[in-house]
Amino acid sequence: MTGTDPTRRRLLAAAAVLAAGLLLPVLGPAGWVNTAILTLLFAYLCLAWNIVGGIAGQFCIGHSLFVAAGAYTSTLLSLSFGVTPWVGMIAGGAVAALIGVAIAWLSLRYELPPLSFALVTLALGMLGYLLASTLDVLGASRGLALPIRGTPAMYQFRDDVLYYYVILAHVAAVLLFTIAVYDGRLGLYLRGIRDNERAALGIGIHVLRYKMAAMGISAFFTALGGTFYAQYLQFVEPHTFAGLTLVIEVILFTVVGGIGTIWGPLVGPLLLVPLGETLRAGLGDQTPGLHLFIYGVLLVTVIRFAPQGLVGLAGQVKSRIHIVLERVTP
Amino acid sequence: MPLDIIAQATVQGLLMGAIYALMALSMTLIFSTCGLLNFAHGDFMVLAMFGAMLVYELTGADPYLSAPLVVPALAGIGALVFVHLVRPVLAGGALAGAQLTLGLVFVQQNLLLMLFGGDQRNVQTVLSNRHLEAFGIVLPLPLVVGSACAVVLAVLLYGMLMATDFGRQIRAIAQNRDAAALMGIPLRRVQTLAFALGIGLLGLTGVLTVAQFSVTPSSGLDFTLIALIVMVFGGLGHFIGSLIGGLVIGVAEGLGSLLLGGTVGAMIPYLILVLVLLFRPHGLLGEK
Repeated sequence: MTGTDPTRRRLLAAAAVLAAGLLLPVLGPAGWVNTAILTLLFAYLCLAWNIVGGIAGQFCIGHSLFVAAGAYTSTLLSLSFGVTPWVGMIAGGAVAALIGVAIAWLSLRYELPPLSFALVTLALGMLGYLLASTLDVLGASRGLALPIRGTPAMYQFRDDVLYYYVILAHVAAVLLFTIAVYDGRLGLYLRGIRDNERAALGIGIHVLRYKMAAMGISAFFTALGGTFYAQYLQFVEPHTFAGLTLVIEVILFTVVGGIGTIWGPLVGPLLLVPLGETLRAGLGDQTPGLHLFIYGVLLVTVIRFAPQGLVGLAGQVKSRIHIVLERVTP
Repeated sequence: MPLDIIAQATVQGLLMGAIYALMALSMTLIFSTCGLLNFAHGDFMVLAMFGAMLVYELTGADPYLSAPLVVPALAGIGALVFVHLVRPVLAGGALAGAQLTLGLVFVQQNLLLMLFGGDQRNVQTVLSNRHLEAFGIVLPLPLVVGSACAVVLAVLLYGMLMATDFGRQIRAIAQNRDAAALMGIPLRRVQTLAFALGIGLLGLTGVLTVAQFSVTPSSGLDFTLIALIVMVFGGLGHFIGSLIGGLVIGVAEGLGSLLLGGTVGAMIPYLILVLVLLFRPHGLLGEK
C-alpha cells in the first residue's frame, strides 16, 4: 500500500469526493441543484483564492477584480464579436492573470508588509468596482444582459444540471492542481515564502517571481469562475461581480475551512453555503438578515475558537485520539 | 469655474475632512496600541448612529442628547469585544485579527438589518435644514458643528496622548510593544482601555454625524474604507498624520467631485491610497 505518499493519498481522497459529486444528481434531494451550483462555485473561488491568499500567504482582498475580469471579458467578447464564452473565458483568464501579475509586481517589489498588501488590493478592488459602475462600455450600473442562445456551444444550457457538471469540472481542475503542486517545488516554495520570507530569500528562492506566479495562477482560475457565474446568471452587473461582498465571503469561507490547507477551502463552502441557503429559505422571508446574522456569529465563533479552521481542528482531534490510542494499546 | 464654487467645495471638503480625521484617529489609536486592523470600524460607528436614532424614536429627544447613553455603551461593547474576541485571536497574528473583524462586519450589519430593516433613514436634529452663510459660502449647520466638535476632540485626544501618563503609555506601546511591557507598562489594561476609548470616540463621531450621513445598516464598510485610507495616508499609527490625512482626503474628494464628477470624485481617495502605498509605503509622515 502506498498510503504513505501524501500526494497519492490526497488524489484518492479527491477522486472519492469528485465521484460523490458526480453521483449527486442521481441521489440528491429535490430542488438541490441551484444550492449545489452556488456551493461548488464558492468552493471553486475559495480554492482559487487559497493559492495566493493561503498557500503563498499573500492576503489579497482584490479578487473581485479577477471575477469581474472573467465575467466582463467573456460577456463583452460574446456580445460584440459573437465569440463563444468557452474561448472568452480563456481570454478573461489571461486578462485577469495579467492584472494579477502586475499588481503583485507593483506592490510586492518593496517587500510591503502583509497588511499593506491587503490594503492595496482592497483599494484596487474598490477602484475596479467604481470603474465598472461608471463605464458605459461595461454597462455601468445597469449591467449587461447576455443574449439568450441556449446552445451548449455558446456555454448556455437549458438544464441547470449541466451547469452543475461544468462547475464540478472547474472544482476538479483547481483541486487537482492544488494537490499536484502542494508538495512539489511550487507549493514548497510558496509555503516557504509564507512561513518565513527572509529565510526563503536566504536559500535562494526568487520570492517576487513566485509571488507573481501565485497571483497570476490564482487570478486565472478566479476569472474562469467569473465567466461561469455570468453564464449561469446570464447577466453581469457591478454589485455582484465587482463588489467587495463576494470577496469577503470567499475569504471567510476559506478561513472557516482552514486557510492555506488543501481541503479547507473545499470544506468551508461545502458546509456554510448550504447552511446559509437553508437558513435563508427557512428564516430569511420572515426576518431579513437573520440568516446572515446567524451565519456571521458562526463565522466569528470558528475564527475565535478554531483559528486553524475546521480542517486544523480535525487534525488536532485526530492527533489527540492517536495519543490516547497509543496509551491504551500496549 | 467661478471661484466661489471652488471655495465652497474646498471649505466643505475641509469640514468633511475633519470628521474623516476623527474616524481615522480612533482607528489609529486602536491600530497602534493593539495592532489590530479593524474592518468593523465603520460598523461600530453605524451602530452608534442607530443608537442615537433609537433614542430619538423612543423618547423624542434630540439625537445629539443621546451621546451620554450611546458613547459609554459603545465603549463597553468595545471593551467586551476586545477582551473576549479580539485579544485571543490577535495572538495568532495581525491577519487573524483582521479576519475576525471581517466576520464582525457580517454580524453587526445583519443585526441592524434585522432590527431596523434595510431602508435608508434620515434623522432630524435641532440643526437640520439650517445653514451658515459667510463670505458667499453656504454650509449646512450639522456639518459645521460636527467638524468643530471633531477638531476639539482631536485636540483633546492629542493633549491626552502628549501630557498624561495614559497617553505616554499608549505612545510607548505604539513605539515598541515588548519594550513597553518590559518597562512595567500594564500592556493588557492599556490595550483594553485604548480599544474602549477608540470605540467610544467612534460612537461620539457617529452621534455627531447622524444628521450628516444617511443611516443604513450597510454603510459601515464605506466609513471603514475612508478611515483606512486616511490612516494609511498619514502613516500607520501616526496621529498627526491621520489629522492632516483627513483634511487632504476631504478636500481632494470635494474638489474632485466638483471638477471631475461624482464617480471620479469617489475614486480619488482610493487612487490616493494606491499611490501612497506603492510609492510612499510608510505614509506621508510615517518613518521607516
